[in-house]
Amino acid sequence: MRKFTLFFILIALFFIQNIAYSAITVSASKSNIPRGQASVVTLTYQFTDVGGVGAPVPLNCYVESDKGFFMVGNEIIEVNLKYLRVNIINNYGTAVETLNIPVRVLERAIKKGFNTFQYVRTFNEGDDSCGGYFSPTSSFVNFSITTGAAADFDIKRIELYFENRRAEITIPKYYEGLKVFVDIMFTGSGLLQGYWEVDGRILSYVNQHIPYGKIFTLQIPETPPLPTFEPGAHIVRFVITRPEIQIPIPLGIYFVTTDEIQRIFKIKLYSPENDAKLDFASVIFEWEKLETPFIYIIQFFESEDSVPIFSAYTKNGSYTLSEVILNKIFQPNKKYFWKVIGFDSENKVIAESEIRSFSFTKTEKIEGTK
Amino acid sequence: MMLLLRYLLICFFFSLFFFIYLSYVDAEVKLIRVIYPLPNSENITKKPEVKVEFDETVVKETIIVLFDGQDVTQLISFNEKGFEFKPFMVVPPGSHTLSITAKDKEGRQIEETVSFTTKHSKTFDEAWSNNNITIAYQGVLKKPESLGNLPDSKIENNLTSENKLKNQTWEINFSTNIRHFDQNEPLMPPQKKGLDIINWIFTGQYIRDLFKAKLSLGDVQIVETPYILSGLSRKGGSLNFEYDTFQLNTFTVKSESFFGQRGGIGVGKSSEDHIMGLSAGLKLFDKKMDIKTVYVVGGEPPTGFGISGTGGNAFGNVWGFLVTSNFFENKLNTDFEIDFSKYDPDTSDEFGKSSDKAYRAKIYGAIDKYTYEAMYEYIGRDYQVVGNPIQRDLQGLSLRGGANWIEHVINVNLSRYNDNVRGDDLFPRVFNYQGVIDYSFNKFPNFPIGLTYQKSIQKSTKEPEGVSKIHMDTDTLSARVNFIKDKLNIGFLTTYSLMNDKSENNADTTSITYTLTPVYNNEKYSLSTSFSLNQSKVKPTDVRTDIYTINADLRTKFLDQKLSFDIAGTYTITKANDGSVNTKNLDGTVQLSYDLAKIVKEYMKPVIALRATYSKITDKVNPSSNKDEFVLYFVFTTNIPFSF
Repeated sequence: MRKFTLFFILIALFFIQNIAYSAITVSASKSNIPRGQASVVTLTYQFTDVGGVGAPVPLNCYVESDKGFFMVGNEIIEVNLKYLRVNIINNYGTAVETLNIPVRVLERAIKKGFNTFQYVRTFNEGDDSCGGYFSPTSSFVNFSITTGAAADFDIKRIELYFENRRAEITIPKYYEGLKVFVDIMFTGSGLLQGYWEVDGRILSYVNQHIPYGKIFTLQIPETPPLPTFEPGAHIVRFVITRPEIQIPIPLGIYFVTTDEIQRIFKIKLYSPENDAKLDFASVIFEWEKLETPFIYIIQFFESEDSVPIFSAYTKNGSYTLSEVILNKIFQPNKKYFWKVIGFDSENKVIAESEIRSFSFTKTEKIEGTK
Repeated sequence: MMLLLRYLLICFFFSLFFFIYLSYVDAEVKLIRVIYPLPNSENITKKPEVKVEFDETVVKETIIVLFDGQDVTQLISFNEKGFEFKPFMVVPPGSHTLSITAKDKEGRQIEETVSFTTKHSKTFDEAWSNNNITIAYQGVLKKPESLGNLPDSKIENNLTSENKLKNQTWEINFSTNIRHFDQNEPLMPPQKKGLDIINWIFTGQYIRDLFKAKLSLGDVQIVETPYILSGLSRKGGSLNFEYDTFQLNTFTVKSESFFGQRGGIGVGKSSEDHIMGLSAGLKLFDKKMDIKTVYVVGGEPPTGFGISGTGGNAFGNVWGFLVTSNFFENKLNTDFEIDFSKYDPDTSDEFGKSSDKAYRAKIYGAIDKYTYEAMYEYIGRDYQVVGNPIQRDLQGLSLRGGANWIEHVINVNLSRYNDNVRGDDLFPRVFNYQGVIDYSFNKFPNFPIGLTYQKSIQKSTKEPEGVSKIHMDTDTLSARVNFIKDKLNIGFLTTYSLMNDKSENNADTTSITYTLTPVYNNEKYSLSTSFSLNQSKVKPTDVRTDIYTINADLRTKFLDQKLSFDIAGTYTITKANDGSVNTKNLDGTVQLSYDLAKIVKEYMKPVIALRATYSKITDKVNPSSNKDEFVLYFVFTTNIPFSF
């Protein structure tokens, strides 16, 4: 009896060493999957002690799996025909699988009353390359189906666009303030990390917590600006480093023409001071006369965002509001706004001032008032 | 008899008075004479020249000339007989007035006003074509062996064209960018070698009385409602009709986003790969209320140019209504929308379209210094629309309020949302409570300060068996301050954020950011710099990562604007406290260019330049990533604008 027992144990050990030492561990980049949406998951397979002590020498071979199965209970609900091959070097091997989980897998599981499913792969020795020391072994990954908020933090869709709402734009040289946006559709909540990049050069980093909610829109910071001094095509991207994503990073292309845009300089206003209270009489408006502007236009408004009620061209750094104009256009006891814009000789705007306000306080009408 | 004599005498004096008066008026008219343009004349020109003669009794210094209400006195040129003036810019076609006021030597006010019309050509009121050709050649002078696939030379040409024809009732606009690209190495998609029409848009518009029709073809943008299409930019066409208060719009666009002309013109009737729609609107109560109904159908792939996503080809349709009103001059606006969608996220499987709905009720307005908004919305679990990604399975209430006291500006937002709107037992329901308060202090225009605090709480309820609870609090506090003096603007922004995972996972994360942005601009140069530190800490691994970034962007022009020197560069240091990351990157471009415009032909604007790029990576963890690359280019660019 003892001999029989010992023989049984030896036989069992023989099988155990052949099976148990061919261990596979699988880690998934995410396991809580949102319903109604396709997901992409990275699976990392780690093979350790392949062959175990049974192998005469450390194994250098390969194992393979021709398909994977999505299972609910014991029922197969989808087959993934993606072939996977793992090179075993000195009894160890690693393989990475990018697993697409289509919506139908989730819907089939839910239809059967489950909110979980399994992904199973069975690995076999490839072409007998391991000399029979690798027994067929299966890996199992469990997934939960849940809502968008309860799912793992994951990026589902990225759309990049410029201020024209498209992923391409044509701009003149030295264009300032080019805006780029990225709309990020996501599940779960977490720390979003990434960086804005132009032509492979990192412009700025982003670290931002985004709790689950609506689509998250990110705009490139104003400083540093996107370079616009090199004519030609430039590629801008927002590269997401966390969470780990499996979808490609979209790109936008801005083309800089050789048509040079003039930078808008700031014109400093001298007088009258902001919020000045002026007599209802001829008044001089003065500003800093820059070197470049060829012509200035001074504009007067009734409110900051309205169209000008009156404007005047001048080549000087001042303009005198004459009594004739004053009586025609303006009224006492009323607030007005003014600003100055400078043009170059090609009629392009090259300078602009801030907007200031003033009001005429004197109520007595001057001679000649209508 | 006496009565008759008295009557005759009165008639005589009246006649005498009128004779004297008319003589005076005649004399006044003759003091200022507008030679060109003639009164009520039609002139074929883009910049109508003005010629005025005046009598020597007119005091030149008192002349004020208004052209379309703009004072152009300082732009007129006096001559022996009077003055001349040519508008500074192209004058839009239509009616114009020229008004001249002056005083004579006796101090009497004289005024002369002339009205006239202009057209840009005999056939069209407005007709112009503005074009610009860009030619940019780049040749490598020096490059390292590691950049063997860097093209030795490349040429990028672009034609930008904008055209307009306008008559009294109709208007045609066409604009495009046509590009030619070539280099001695393969080109990274989606760009391609050779000629390509990058973008184009044609619009034709007809307006007569209350009727308006508009056709748009090319790169169009479709905006219907927030839940249906809120800004879909694709290649295709749209047709809009308006009659008084009634509007009808129809469109068809290619659903996949393309770069260049590969997608064709985009107009098609196959709903598999197009998005098509029809909408009708009516304005009521003196245009204070809008009613709109929209129908959209189509299919789309998950990816395209500028777009990346998961899943298969989707197909669906949606039908919706939108009612907006503004009866109280923006003090109380209302916005109601309800939509019904049928959507199949993957047409390749056995599951068909799912039906669902979305609706929103919103009131908002502005009263004096105060603004407010209250909104309730419901977006069904299966509510989706092609061409309009929207976060679904969401319902909740949001409240916003704001006050602007000029020196103090405050805005507050509060919201409560939850998912699992159908209460499915297989899944938990997650509630999200969020509050944001933002305050700006603007008393000192040179020193604006702002603070923002945001709190978000997420909690799950009704978790099914085996599903962990969710309880996550997120606190974000940020402060900003600027110092502005003349052409200097120094900004400082700092943000602290903690996501506190109170569930069993305890996966807390912390983020701290400091950013300093000194910017200086003047006529000759601009310097824009930024210094930032981004710190993040992940509690489960206890790994802290610090990223230091220094950016510089310099532009200078000197030698009478002929020589330009431009720099753009970034230096970053990334370190993790567990030693997993330790890298230093330096990337930069320097360009020295000389404008030959004044030497060659000014209209071609040729520029020659030397451009250098430098890239260095020092990776102490993975030295195989190290690189040190310097590339020197010769660059020739020219710009050929032509208009007619």
